[in-house]
Amino acid sequence: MPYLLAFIAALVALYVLVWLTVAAVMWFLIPAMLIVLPIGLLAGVFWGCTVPLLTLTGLRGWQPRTITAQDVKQGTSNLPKLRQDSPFGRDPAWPSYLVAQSRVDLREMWHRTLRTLGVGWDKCRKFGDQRDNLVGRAVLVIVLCPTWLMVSVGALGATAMILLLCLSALLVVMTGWLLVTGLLRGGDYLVRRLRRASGSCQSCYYVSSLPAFPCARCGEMHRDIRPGLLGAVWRRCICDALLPTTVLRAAFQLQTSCPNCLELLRAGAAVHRDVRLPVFGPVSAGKTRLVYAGLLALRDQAAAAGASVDFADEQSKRAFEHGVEIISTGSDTAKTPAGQLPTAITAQVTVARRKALLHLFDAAGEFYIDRGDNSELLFLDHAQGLVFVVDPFSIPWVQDQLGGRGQVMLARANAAVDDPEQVYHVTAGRLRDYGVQTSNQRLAIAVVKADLLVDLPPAQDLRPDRVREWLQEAGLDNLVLAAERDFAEVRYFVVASVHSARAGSPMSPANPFAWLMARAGLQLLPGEPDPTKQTEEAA
Amino acid sequence: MTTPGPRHPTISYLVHRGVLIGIVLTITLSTGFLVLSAAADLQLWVISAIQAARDEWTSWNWSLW
Repeated sequence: MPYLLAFIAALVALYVLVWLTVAAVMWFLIPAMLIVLPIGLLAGVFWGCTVPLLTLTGLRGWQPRTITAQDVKQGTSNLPKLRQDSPFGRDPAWPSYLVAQSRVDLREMWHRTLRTLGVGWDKCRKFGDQRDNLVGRAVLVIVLCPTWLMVSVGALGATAMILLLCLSALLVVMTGWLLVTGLLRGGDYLVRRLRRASGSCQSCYYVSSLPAFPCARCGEMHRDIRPGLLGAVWRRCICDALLPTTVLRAAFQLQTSCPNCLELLRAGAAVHRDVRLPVFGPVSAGKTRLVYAGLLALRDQAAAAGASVDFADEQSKRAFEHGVEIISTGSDTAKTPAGQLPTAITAQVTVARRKALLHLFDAAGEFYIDRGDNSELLFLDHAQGLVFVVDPFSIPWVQDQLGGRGQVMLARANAAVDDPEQVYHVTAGRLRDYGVQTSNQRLAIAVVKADLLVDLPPAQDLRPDRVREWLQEAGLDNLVLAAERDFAEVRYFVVASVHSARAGSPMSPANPFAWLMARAGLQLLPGEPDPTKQTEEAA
Repeated sequence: MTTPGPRHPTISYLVHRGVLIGIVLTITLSTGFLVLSAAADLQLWVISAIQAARDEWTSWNWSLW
């Protein structure tokens, strides 16, 4: 009987307990959760909006890491790797917000939201650890976890929505940015390509279509100034100076440097057409004099035609003035120092509205005698044409023809000693060894010192239109054959490197240069002087 | 030797961030406006739900016999 009573009492107690529990759930817990959970969700949404705001404004010290120009230089900027392995890396400039900082900002917004929610979950876990009993677990499982879950869902949903919209806005802006960058970059490339512009270094002879630009304020070198990840229209240097992006604009506002040796290039390098013409020949053949007289005649010829030949840099200007003095006074040309690599004389040629840079390279004749000595003459590799200077007084046939007056004339002409054919073969061999396609190049063979030779017996048949035949007659037929075999086009000139050989005349020292310039796309005059035609007219 | 240079965000950074702040503010204010507009309905829904729960409890037969 007592067992029965105890069983009934236990049953009633269980009934009351269940009743109370269900009543508590239905009357208090569910209504409370119906109020708390939506509020938690809304609070989460509010938090999901607040965290990105605080991150972007930098309040509470939540500002994301700033990607600076220093990061770009050190390679810690998250920018894509350079396609070509450049030993210099990226230029020291601030990256565009769209390609580096935006990713950091968006990532920071998301991670900051996750971190703050993680703090809440940590606190829930600690609450459960501290109150390791039934009530504690019930509160954790029934109240805290669902509430914080709703906060998390709201916050993550809101942040995800914000990130999605921010990303969409950035994509729209990036489309415009890409369009501007592409147009500027393409336009810059196209104009320079049409102009056949390139920058050649007057010192190390390196030729590049993309020169380096030192910042006007801090001097930091910008090796790829083109529109791109570091700026579409402008770029900000590491020193905070604002620099233009295209090569065409940068060349007008900044100094231009050789990307190889960092020497300052001539004004207009990589913007205007670049014509490089080396003059080679034996020692004392008259190369330097031909360059001086040629430039003087070119200037006069250009002036007569309404064009101009100027010297923008001080070095070339001094060299030209020195040359003018020598040619005008008829004084002897000083021997070009042997073993010293030449610095190009650069002239800026302006025809109508078109400009071009003409670089003349005049190395000492010693370089061309031995194959081992001319490996440093890199300007030969990038030339659009070459001028080979032949001293007629060095030809044995001419010396024989001079007879008794030979020694006097040879001394007066300061005749070259070395064989022109040997010099030609050494130079042509060098070009081939360095992979230069001579079959695409042009060669002007200039028989110089015509002013001294013209009244002498060997020059009886030497006329501007018969230089080739005269050379063959003089025993240089092998030279003629080899030159015409090696080069795409060979033109022969007879030249008097004196002031009296007026510009445009058949013996003008400008003729070899003018012909090669015209072949390189720089037509100085409407019709370049053709010695053959002019001789016929003169006759 | 590279000059360290300024480390504060450039004007371009600030302008772009300004645009993003504008977007976030717009979303926040729009959400706030929507919530406030729907507050009365939400309150009604919560009250109805609570009442439904209690009615359900009342409708249950708790008799032991």
